[in-house]
Amino acid sequence: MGQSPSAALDRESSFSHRFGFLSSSSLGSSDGFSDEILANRDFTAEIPDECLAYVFQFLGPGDRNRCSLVCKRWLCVDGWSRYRLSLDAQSEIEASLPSIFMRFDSITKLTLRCSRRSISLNDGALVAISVRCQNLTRLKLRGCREISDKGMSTFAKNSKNLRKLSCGSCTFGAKALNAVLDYCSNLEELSVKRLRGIHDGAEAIGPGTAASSLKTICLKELVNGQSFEPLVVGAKNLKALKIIHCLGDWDRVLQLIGNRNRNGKENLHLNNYNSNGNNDALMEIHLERLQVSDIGLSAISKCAKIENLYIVKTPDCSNYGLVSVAEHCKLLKKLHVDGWRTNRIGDEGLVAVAKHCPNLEELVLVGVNATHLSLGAIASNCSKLERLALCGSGTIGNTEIACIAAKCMALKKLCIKGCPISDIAIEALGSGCPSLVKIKLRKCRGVSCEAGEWLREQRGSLVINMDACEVDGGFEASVSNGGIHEVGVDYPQVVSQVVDRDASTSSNGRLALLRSKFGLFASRNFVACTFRRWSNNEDSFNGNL
Amino acid sequence: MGSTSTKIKLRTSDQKVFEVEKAVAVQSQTIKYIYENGCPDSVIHVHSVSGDILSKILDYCKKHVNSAAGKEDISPEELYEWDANFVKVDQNTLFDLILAANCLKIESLLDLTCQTVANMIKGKRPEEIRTTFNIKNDYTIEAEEAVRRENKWAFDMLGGVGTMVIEELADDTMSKCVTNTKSRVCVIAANQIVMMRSISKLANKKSIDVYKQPQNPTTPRIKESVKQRNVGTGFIELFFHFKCKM
Repeated sequence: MGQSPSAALDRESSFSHRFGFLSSSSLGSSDGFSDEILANRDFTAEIPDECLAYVFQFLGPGDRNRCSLVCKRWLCVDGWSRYRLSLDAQSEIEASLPSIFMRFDSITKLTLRCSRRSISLNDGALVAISVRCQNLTRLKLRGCREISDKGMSTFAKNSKNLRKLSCGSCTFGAKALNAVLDYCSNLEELSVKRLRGIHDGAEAIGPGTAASSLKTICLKELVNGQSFEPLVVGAKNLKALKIIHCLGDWDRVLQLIGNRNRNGKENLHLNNYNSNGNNDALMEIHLERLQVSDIGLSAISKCAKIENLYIVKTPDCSNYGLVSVAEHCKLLKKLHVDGWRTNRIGDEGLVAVAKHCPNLEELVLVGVNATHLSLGAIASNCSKLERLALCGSGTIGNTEIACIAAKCMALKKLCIKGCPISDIAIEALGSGCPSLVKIKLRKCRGVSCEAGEWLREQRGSLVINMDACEVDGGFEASVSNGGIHEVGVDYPQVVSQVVDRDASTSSNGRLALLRSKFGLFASRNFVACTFRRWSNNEDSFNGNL
Repeated sequence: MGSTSTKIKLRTSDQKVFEVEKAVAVQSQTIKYIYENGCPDSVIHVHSVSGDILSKILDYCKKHVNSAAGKEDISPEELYEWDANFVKVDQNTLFDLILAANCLKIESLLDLTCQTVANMIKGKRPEEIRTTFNIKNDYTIEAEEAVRRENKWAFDMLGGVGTMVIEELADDTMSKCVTNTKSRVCVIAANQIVMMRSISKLANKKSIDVYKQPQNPTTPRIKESVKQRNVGTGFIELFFHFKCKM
């Protein structure tokens, strides 16, 4: 952003012609101007276009659109300084496209979105756009059902600088994607969702000229997942692979990836931890609702550089596969497992993770029956663990939380959802996990509001996010049988948990103290007050800004 | 020479001379360049900046250098407040600061001042923007209509386009969502408690249009800064100024 040496020049050429007599006195001095004149001056005219454009960068598209209506200069400046545009891609827009792209001549990121109710723009319009947007680096298409293979091919020919393509709910097919991958040799990210134009017997989709540039591939809800196999295997420098709910034989694909580069000469010089690994750049794999089994996981284990692994709702994966990954992927930092309550992944797999993956920073377990055996091991051995989430598991109770509290020294964020823990677990957290910054509790019916309040008092700096105790306006008649009954429903449950699962000795006494301190049968109004107090206290707790 | 309190002399357009510590002066990339490539002993001319403005700018630079170096015990929130007060000036001064920050290449000051102007624009209709800045409307009626028609094709508001909806989140989670989102539009549901301080700071940085569904009870802070705008679906557009009470 260069500044012209003479500010006076800018002023004289400014749009606001009120003051043609502007002196060449330096900026900032108000001598020569009366207050009245100052009050009517357009100061925006005195900053160069580049500065005005910089101001616009702090505005969203809505505000920018309104700025464009202020005056012609603002229209112009906004036009050339807009890099990102999101258009309503209906067929009627075609007539306006020439003027739109004359006005916005620097677009690099374009979104064309068409709702289901409208007819989208067609091939001709898309090609016209590609001719005008020579610097397009990112394109997002949503619901552009009138665009065919031919249109996409021509578009691709005109868009050599494309780095990212994301298409969802479109109807073109394999030919279109192959064209993109052939012409756009700098393509780094490809995301395909619900592409309906790929029929049985369609050609396979290969990486084309983008084989070495592709870094991220995301495939979602594709019926013909197998058409994409050559693409996934052929993208040699792939860093992240996400496959969600696609039909296909992904075990085979993962095996091919796992065996990639294995026979190359480079392998001889690897500083592998074992001879099993390869030189693959793959760092992140996300598998969700797929036909993938332990064979696939074992194949993944050959990618020694894997740091993030998401295994979500894949019922054919078991402990065996997780053990295999853990043993060979020692750089693992993030692990998400959603066992879908099939009980095939549990302690055995997680103990292996504890043993072999000391770099683990984040662990999320959903519907996985882990117990203190594995959680304790992870807590002890994964000394870098900072984020832990445990959801929907019937085996995670007070013992497990006590274990975590005692051993997770680096833990900063903890989330527990829908697990049978009780106030005893909260007590354990009162004194454990020294690094804890934030805790979130959802749908843990055994945990009372009073316990949350207690924890808040114990650990002043901890941010606690709990289910809001219901502020029921209609519940004014609080201390009635109805009131006691509702609160009482929780109590027996808690008591039985104390009896069954209590490992720590003195907590009975402490629990009693807790109860008497806050009054178990406190009216709903008390709870409501507590909630309001929390929300006011939240105010002073936001240290992490 | 090599002493910790190397001073640099700066001469402004109105012939005022300022002597400042090198560490403060080189916050300006322009001055830094001249100092490192020219003769460090003579005076550096900043001919496009007046004494008043340079004085203010040096205050800013000094504050930021001292806070970064730990010489002043000031928390990030306090520095933020200080910055907010720094730009509570008339338009004349504000735009002079922009010009000077641009010329002297002081990035954080340019960000601060341009953000302030942006805040004066946010949420306003075109005629209101013109009033605020005394801008002459040089559109013909037809030309303005044409631009309006064109603008309709560009998504700018609610409509499910890359819109992030925030509901039932804790304040810091929401802060994180706002920081990390690629959405340009954020909708806060009625039952979401909003702490203005966090959301405004982040929304400012990311140029996100934030809309809030009106709720009962509304915290007093939200009431202060909310202006009723009919954006078609019963939402209130929130816009943030540095004057907004933290």
